[in-house]
Amino acid sequence: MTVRIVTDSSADLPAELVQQHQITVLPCYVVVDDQTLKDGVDIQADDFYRRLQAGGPTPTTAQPTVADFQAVYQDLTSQGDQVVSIHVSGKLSGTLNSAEQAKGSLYGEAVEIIDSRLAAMPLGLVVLEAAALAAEGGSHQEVAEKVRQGLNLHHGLFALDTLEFLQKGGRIGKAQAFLGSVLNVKPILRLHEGEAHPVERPRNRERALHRLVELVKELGPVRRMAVIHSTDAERMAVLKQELTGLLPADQIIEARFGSTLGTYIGPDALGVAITQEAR
Amino acid sequence: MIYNCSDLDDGPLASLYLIAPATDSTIRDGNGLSMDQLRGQDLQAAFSAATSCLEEYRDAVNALNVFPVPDGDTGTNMLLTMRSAVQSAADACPDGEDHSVAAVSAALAQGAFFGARGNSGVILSQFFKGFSDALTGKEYLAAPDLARALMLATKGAYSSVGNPVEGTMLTVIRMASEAVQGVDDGLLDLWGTAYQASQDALSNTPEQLPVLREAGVVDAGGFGVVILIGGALRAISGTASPSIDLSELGRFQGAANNGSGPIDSGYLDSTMEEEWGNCTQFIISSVDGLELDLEQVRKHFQETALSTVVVGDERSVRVHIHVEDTAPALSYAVSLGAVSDVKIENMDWQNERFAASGHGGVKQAAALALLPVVQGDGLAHLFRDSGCAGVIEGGQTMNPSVQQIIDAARSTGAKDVIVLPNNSNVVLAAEQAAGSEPFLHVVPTKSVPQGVAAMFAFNPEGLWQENVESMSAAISEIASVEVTAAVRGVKIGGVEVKEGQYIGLLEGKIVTAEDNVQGALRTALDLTGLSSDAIVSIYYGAGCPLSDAQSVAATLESDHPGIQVDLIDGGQPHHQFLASVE
Repeated sequence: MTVRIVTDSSADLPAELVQQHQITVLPCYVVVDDQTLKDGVDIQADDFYRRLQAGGPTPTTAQPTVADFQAVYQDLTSQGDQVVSIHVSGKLSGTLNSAEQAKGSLYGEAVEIIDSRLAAMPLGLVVLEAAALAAEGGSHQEVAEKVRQGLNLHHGLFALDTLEFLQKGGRIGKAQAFLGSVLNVKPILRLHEGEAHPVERPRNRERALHRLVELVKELGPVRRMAVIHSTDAERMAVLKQELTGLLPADQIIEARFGSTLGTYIGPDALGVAITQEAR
Repeated sequence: MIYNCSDLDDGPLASLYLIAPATDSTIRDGNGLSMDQLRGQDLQAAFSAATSCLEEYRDAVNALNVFPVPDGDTGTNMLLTMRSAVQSAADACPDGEDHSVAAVSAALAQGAFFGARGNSGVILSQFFKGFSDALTGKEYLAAPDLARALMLATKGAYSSVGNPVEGTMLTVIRMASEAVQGVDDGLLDLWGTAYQASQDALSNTPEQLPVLREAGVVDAGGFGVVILIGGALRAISGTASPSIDLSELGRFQGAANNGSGPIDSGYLDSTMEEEWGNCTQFIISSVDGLELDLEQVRKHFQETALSTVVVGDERSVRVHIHVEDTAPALSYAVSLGAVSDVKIENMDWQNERFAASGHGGVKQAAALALLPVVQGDGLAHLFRDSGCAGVIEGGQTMNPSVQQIIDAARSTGAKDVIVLPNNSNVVLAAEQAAGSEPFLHVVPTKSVPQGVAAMFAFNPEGLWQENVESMSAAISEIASVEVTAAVRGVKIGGVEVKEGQYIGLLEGKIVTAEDNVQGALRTALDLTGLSSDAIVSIYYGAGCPLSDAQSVAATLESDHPGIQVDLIDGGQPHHQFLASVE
């Protein structure tokens, strides 16, 4: 009997890590130009951002369906495995609802569902943590309990080029305070208690990158770390280089905001996900 | 509330007044006021006359600007502060009745406190606070009381500024006070001595402050103090002493200032009560000998209304509140006694403006709000657009009063409010407001660029303490540049300025005077030591074409590759350009 980890595509986990830890990823849906596509399956990031920047109607996203979850849970539990299913914050998406309904309809006892209160690679790091805990053994409840206890060690900071997409997508939330078009600022947001919260407003990209690094350093020491970009891999490389004081470069995961996150975070965004050392 | 009349009944000096002097011991000659001691109404009349006198000399005081820029006018600020003081005294101590000097001076102090505008107004308000403290419990003002009152007034004035500078109105106040300490003389003579000493002190201010000497003027605030002491003296002495001739004040009028006309005081008056709901005032009088419980009344209105000011005693209580619905307030008042002098003014236009600004007015109050003082549509839009809860209109030549700052802060509905004064002449008033209201905090921004820098460091979700710290740090990281037209010629800090030239100021100091507005901006910006990763923000003012700003931006960008120049329509009235370098 194995504990298997399930997540959704908003975790933006790189494919090799998904494979390595045998993680099951349910694709979210993204609606671009009237087409409903599975994030990371029917549409890849390059294509998505090209279409996003081409203008056109604002893309929207949709959570995996109850049927999607049922199929995955059924598949895993029918093999005798137990499931820890970890998802994007319930304040940002209805994904957890789909998962809960699927769990309620079948094999409920073998599935533990966790609200990560995060999104993107910060969620991805929780998933990696869960995979490591599962490998150590124990029941799905024990794994889930440990994951929940460690949730506050995971953090995400994002430097956006614009809040336009977050606002258009209806996910502006607490970052509302940083809206404003008179001055061209590069807002830094932080995931906290399940939502994006405003942190500060550097005046250009260079300073945003610099501040992002400083803010991350304040959160050290770190156990795991990922750098994330939407359309500028070169800037991400600079960001990674700046952070090598916290972790050696070969241990820093490189990731990309997929179509689901990209819908809200927009082009030219950078992010850092970390798991702090337990105190 | 900091001041209230009930405190006067049990002040430390009350025991001295177990045997009150008989009223008829006051000698009146039918021409002037009392010769050896003043009653409350005499003191009130004296400061009322002093205020009229200041009104007469307002433009002359305004003209003593050290910097040849359209400035927060000292004469106007002092006058508006005095008007508020005198009005408060008139409200608390109606004509035709006898009043103690304790009651009158306390009312003067309270009015000055809330009406204080600009740094000179704040200093003046603390002068009255000290003056009033000295008269606590006093029925009459006799000669020895004057010395003590001026001593405490001086102390109050000095304590109101963090870093007292000699050669300013502080010195004039202090010298007037020192001249009467320990002098055994009649009241009128003492007042005359103080007046003479104040003039001497004022004449000497250019010797103490090189900046005054260079500009060829005496200190404006000091001149205001001389006028007030002189005006009061003239009223006290009446026609009995025709030797009090204020025309000698003419000698203090320095270089003529034709450039800065008086501000529109009607505008200031109309913005005094910016708030939502109804500004409601009334007086409750006791009936059938039932004593009023002042503390209870105050507590009631502090809990049920905003901008609560409750003063009075067990016989009569004056209430000033801001409420959405006046009926419950009045019902409560009627249950206590006879209600009179009811005044209700609707202030809802303010709330409409808040709602129109897209921030939902008082209904979506944040825990922590940011409230800048700004002038100009563009700047107001910039601050609102960037998440400020609203703006207090004012700044250069239009300094908001302490009460306006408090009212605007309250109208945000936020639990804590951080005010950005954005002008060196508004900082003290904002700090005075913060001193009286624990929910109000100040990041002492001295210019709009500093205010913008502070705003971008603002985290609406942080604690106010953290924000004050990070925002204060942010203002030290930018250089602040202003360009304005000189309203008169002057030589200052080694820079020769001709009237009509454009002057560039860096951190408030004149660094260049040029015929060309772009040149003045460029020179001042270059003096900040531009590095290739600098961000320059240029706020172009009303009547200053975008093309001027664009051409400066183009030359900056070509001379300093890598630099970022942002142009913002500030629409500010008095500065052709404001700029910051980060």
